[in-house]
Amino acid sequence: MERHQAERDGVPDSDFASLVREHQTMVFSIALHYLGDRSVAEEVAQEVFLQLYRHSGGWDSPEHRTAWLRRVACHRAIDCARSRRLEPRLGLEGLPEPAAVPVSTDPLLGARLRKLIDGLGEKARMVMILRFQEELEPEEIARTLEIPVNTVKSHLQRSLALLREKLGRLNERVESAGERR
Amino acid sequence: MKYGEESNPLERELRAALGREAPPPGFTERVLRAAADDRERRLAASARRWNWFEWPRVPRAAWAGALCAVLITGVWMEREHQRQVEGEQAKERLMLALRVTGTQLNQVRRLVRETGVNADLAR
Repeated sequence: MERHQAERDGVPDSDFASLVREHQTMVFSIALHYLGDRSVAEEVAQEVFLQLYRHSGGWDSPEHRTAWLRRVACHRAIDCARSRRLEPRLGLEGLPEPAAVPVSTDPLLGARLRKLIDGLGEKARMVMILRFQEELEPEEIARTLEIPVNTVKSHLQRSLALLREKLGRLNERVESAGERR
Repeated sequence: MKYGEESNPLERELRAALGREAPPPGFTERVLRAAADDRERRLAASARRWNWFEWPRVPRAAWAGALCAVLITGVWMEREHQRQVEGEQAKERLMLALRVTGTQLNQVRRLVRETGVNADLAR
């Protein structure tokens, strides 16, 4: 066992299991929301933890390690989408309008929003996931994705505006349909 | 939340839509098994690094062939070097012989000149 540990120079086995349990929801959710496929997301999450297993450490704190995991998960998910060509072909404007009214109690609204987010560009989509899933500040998102803070802010503003516009148009359509009835 | 502080309904819906989801059951066990497999592969790879001649991908015949090629090249290079050294020695000997011949010719020429001058004086 000691020989094994010395051979691989990574996180100790006992710590590794608890690290997986602690961070698996975060890593899996980033991959799932980005890729939209549970089995592919599971593969990506597994690769992220294998990278952690081989990593020789060097984290100053648990927060630093969490940030490292989050960064690796983001980059792995982006790489996976590129290699599997899972990237959406349509822009947000090109997506078909959803068929029902988006009210806050609508259980389908979440799925509809996820579908609209899938239509965003690769960086914009990851920015939205990090902001609304991970509750990160723009500065933290910028560090994670290695892009300027202003780019993060403009991605957030543009994406929110597009989503708002898309849902607003949908509301108008449904209201006019109701009046006609 | 912080950035921009106020949260509008759309942002609340986004938070709900993008909430964290637990991975499928058995995920932790699968990761731990994959890590154990990875460790075994790395151990096997490091063992192979120290045991080149038993590396299955390179058969012994290939190692023997490579060794023969190295030996033949070594012998050929040694012979070439030998021939070069011999050539250099022959060149040195020829230059020495030419220098000796030149010195002797100069002595003969001087003798002839002196003999001619003496004959003129006697006349």
